[in-house]
Amino acid sequence: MVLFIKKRAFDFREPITPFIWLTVFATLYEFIGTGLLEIKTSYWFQLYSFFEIVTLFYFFFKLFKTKYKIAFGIFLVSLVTTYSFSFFFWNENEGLIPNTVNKTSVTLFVLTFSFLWFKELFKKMEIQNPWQNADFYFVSGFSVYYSSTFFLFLLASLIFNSNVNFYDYWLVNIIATLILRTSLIIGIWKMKQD
Amino acid sequence: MLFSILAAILTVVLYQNKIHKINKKESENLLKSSLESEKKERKRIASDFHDSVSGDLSAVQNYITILANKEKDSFNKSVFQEIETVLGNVIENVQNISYNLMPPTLETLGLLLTLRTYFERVQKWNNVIINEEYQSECEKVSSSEAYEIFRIVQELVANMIKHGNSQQINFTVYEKEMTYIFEISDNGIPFDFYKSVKEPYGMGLKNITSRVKSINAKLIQTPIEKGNKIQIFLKH
Repeated sequence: MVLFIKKRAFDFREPITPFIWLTVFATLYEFIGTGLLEIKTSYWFQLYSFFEIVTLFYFFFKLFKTKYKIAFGIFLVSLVTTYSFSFFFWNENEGLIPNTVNKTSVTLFVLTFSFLWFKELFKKMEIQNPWQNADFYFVSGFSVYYSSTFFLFLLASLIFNSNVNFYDYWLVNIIATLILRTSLIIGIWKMKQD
Repeated sequence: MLFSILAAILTVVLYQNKIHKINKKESENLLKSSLESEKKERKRIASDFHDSVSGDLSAVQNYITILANKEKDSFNKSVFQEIETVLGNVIENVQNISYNLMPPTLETLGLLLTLRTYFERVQKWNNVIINEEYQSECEKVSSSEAYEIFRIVQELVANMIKHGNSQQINFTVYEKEMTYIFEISDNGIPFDFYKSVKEPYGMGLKNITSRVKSINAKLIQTPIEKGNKIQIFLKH
């Protein structure tokens, strides 16, 4: 809404815009597709992972502009390879194992570049107050979300197939998503002030 | 999850702490350079006043004296003599301004002698007694520190006379544990240095604080029965 008001909703020069659109679409789809139409989640998990890789790669690539080109190249190859590899585990009834494969590489990618962003932050010392900086909220939100859910996604299939209540563990993902989305909202709000 | 949130918050706290230190250092450098340029400008203006304006006025005064001596007409003679007296006063004022801008003895004779000369001048021009006590030679005070100390003492004395109506000022210099202590007290109207420095009109006191900071000294006001007591601690 804020991006629409600021006429920046389709401004793809902003690194976060594609991820915001993905979040909007994911919210709508999960309500309509999974909630109302009861379409199997395995399709959505695989499709979402693809867009997640693309939007996050776009975000960090744009954020660092011309820096770390080799690292981006290596990660692009690994992300594409793991994504292709995840199809070997995918079938209509099995969405968790491919999701684990994809989430592992994405988490590694996000944590690496979040670390590099914080390193650059301390090296350049250009931002006077990180609490007023949109990118800080985006990067922090991503690092908190992916580091919190890493083990959950890694063990998702195992937990789901064991006798324990899977949804008790899924609460971690819900809380982490809530934190990520709050960070995105604050970040966009700070973008509006720029 | 909690750990990553705490890590993010801790990162920001550390970052802001570092930014604060950088900003502090930058403002200190800025303060130093502005005080340094002020000193240079004062020196230039003082030497212009002393060498040029004062010299020219003395020459004019000499010509007027010659004219007054040659003049036969008593009215014209008295006018010339009046001009001569006025010129004498102007020269004295110009020299005073020049001295206040930059005492010529500060770099050549050092801080203590300059302070002595300064106190003599203050006593000559104001109704005040200044008791001086020098227990240290202050030989380790650098020229830039000496300049700032002189300005601080000058500002404090001026304030004590102007706003405090002081009749007596005591000035002592001594050394204790590798620190020079410049102590100045008076019997005038008491004032709270720390409170007054926050007031918008306290420019002189703000300058004192800046100068104290620029030489890494410390200023302490100690409450006394009557008047004020201020100590400046300068490590060497």
